[in-house]
Amino acid sequence: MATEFGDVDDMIWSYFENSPDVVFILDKDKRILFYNKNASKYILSDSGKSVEKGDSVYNYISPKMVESFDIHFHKTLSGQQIERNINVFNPINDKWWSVSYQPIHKNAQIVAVSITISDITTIKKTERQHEEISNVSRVGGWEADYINNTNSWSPVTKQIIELPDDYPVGMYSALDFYKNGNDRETIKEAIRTALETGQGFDLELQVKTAKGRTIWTRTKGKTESHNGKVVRLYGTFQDTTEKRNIYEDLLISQQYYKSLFEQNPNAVFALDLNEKFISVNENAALLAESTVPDMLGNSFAPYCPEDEVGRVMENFNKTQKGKSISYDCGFITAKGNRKEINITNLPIIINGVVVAIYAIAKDISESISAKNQLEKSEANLRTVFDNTDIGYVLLTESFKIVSFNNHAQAYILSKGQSPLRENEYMTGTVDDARSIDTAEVRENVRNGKKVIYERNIKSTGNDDQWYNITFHPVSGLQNEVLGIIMEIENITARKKSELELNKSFNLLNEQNKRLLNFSYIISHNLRSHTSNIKSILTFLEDAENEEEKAEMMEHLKNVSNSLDETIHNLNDVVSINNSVNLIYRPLFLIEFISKATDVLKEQIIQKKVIIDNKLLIDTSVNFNPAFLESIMLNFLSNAIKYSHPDRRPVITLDSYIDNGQFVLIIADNGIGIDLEKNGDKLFGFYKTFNGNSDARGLGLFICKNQVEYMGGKIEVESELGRGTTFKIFFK
Amino acid sequence: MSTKLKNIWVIDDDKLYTFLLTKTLAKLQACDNISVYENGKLGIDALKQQIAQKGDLPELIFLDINMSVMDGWEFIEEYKKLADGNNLGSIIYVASSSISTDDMAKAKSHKEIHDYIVKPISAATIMSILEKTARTN
Repeated sequence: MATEFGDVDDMIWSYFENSPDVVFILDKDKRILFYNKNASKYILSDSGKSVEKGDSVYNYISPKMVESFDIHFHKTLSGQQIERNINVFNPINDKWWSVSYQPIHKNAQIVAVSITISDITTIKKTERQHEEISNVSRVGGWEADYINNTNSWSPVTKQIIELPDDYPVGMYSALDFYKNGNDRETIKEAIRTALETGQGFDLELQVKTAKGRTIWTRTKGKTESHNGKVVRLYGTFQDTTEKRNIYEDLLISQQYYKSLFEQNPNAVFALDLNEKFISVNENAALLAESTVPDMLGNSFAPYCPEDEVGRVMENFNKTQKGKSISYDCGFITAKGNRKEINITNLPIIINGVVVAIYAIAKDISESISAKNQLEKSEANLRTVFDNTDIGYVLLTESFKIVSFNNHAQAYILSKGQSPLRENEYMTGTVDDARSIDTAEVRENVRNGKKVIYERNIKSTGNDDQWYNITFHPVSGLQNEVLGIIMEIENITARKKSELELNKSFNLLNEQNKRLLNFSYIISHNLRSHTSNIKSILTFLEDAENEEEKAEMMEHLKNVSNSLDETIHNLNDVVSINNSVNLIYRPLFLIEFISKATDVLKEQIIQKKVIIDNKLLIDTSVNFNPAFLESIMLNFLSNAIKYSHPDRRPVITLDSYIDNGQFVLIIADNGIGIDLEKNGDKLFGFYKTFNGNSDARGLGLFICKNQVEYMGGKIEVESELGRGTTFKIFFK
Repeated sequence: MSTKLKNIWVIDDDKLYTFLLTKTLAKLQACDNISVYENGKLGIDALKQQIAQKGDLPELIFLDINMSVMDGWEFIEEYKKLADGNNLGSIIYVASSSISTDDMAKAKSHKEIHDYIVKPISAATIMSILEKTARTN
């Protein structure tokens, strides 16, 4: 091959063959005359074909490229050298190629064209980076030539000042862009100095752009002198606003950190590895009841309570090993006061080594004491809750058990219900006796009403227990029901005294009745005698003869006897009510019945009374003997007295047990009593109620009092014309 | 002016009292006839009989409160029924040994009862009652 070109040096050929560029040489007919290794590779990878010498280059050019190739080729044939850059873009690798067309002359004739394709991607990229860097750092240039008296600004400079590229530049107008005042004076002074002394400058000044924005700029200036005279001033012009902002941010953040340290509400301090203070903020001094200067350089040790030194030191050691740690401990101030603090130790690490300890301390004395107080008051409340005499069950609105105390549990267990458990539901009937169930309670509670009832629990061992149960609704701010408090109060003692009170009330009532009866006796019985005596005395005074006088004296005697009898009866009544500590003992009823029939013997014989005694011979009652005697006598004499005139009187004596109580029955077949009419008078103090003028109305009244005094009672059943039955209930 | 009445009834079960009252009325020559009834029932029966026979009704009745079978209050109720709103013409005085204010108040509540007098009834009291009764008649 070399022969065709004559003396082609082997070295040149080798260079051609091994060039990193792709090289073709085409004849005028666009046939490939020569190609190098890279050309072969390039064509193969580009068109998938192996190149053959003498082939038309069209075989290897993509149809798109044909047109531009032809233009460049023909231009080259006419003698032009063409060099063009092609950017072949693909998403992975953005490639730049430089394609140059070179005419090859032989004997002043163009005989061939060489085409060299070089990969200029790297160069191109570097170029672009430079551009970008220049844009980013926005460094512009400027120059003032004092020989030619010209000024020039680079486009970037103009861009910085936000001037159009074609802006005509004058030296002095440039200075006008500097911010009026200090900045402008500074640059003017710097230029004057530079012109006089040849000294350069480097200034950070504020500039107002053509659009009125204020920016930070750095203006560097250098001088060029000729024969001791400055002939040229040149330099760079840079927008440093961002940098400046960063710097200012930095300054601000430094201040931030400083104030964060100084103004920190917590005590903040740093200790060196010997636990000496190397920095202390005001709050730390305040906490220590000392001053910053007094603390700096001194040891932390005196501030640590003796009993906590070990723990605090251990934590310091941990921090010295790089560990952050937070804990509560005591703190002794310079004045010797103890405080409770929460301290956080942080290691200060420089170049990977812990050089000091940073500590943030919070005074928690108050919160500790508040916490203690709260815990104490909570404990107090719990103690109250647990030890109060009242049982409590806290329930949700849906009767889920939130909490309860021992008394509540005891109450539930005493009812025979399954024990209360937290988070379980209180189910079923709350009180079986009154069938107050949860639904009813809930309904009321939902309406904000309390539900209150009393509950009596009969127990086998102890006495009956009485409880007062209250369901309180617990309302929130919007009156919504938040829950229910069930209150269980044992009111047994109260209830018992209430029952006792009722008993004594009844007793008092009875006694009052007796008193009324007594006043009745006074007003009727005694008064009737005295009024009669008064009348008789009047007649005596006015008596016209001895006969009349004697008659009146006889009447007076009778009245006197009646009065005596009435007073005796009254005495009986009074003595019953006065017999405070009356003796009572078991008494055989039979004994007392025969005593009474003995007394009434005459009448029994006269009226042919049959006494039908159905009582057992050993029937006995616990009673006072005198009272029993009076009772038997009264009832039997009444039965005889009010016997029916048409039939033989029969008095039946019997007994039965009613609810553990012994009941004596005295029944007669006498005239009977109209109870509807006279029932209320029966045991009252009336003279008579049967039309029998000799009847002793006082008798039943006394009997009733005696029986009641012994804790019993008397009942009566009667039918007019058929007979009367008295029932005496013994205690 | 004559104060003598025709018929005075005493309804009382205290025999001594009725004896003494009858004696006093006789002494005062208060009336032509004095009738004594031992309880309210006998009094009412007698009234009924007088009405039935168109006989003389008493101008004046001394009525006791506490009596068996029918007491003074029950007598008043029966008397009201008997009169059926009409005035039978009898002036009724309740004469009781009771000094209980309850009894006095109760007596006042019945318009049929002219007044309440506490036993014993003195001759002077009887005189003034007779005068009043005579005037009314």
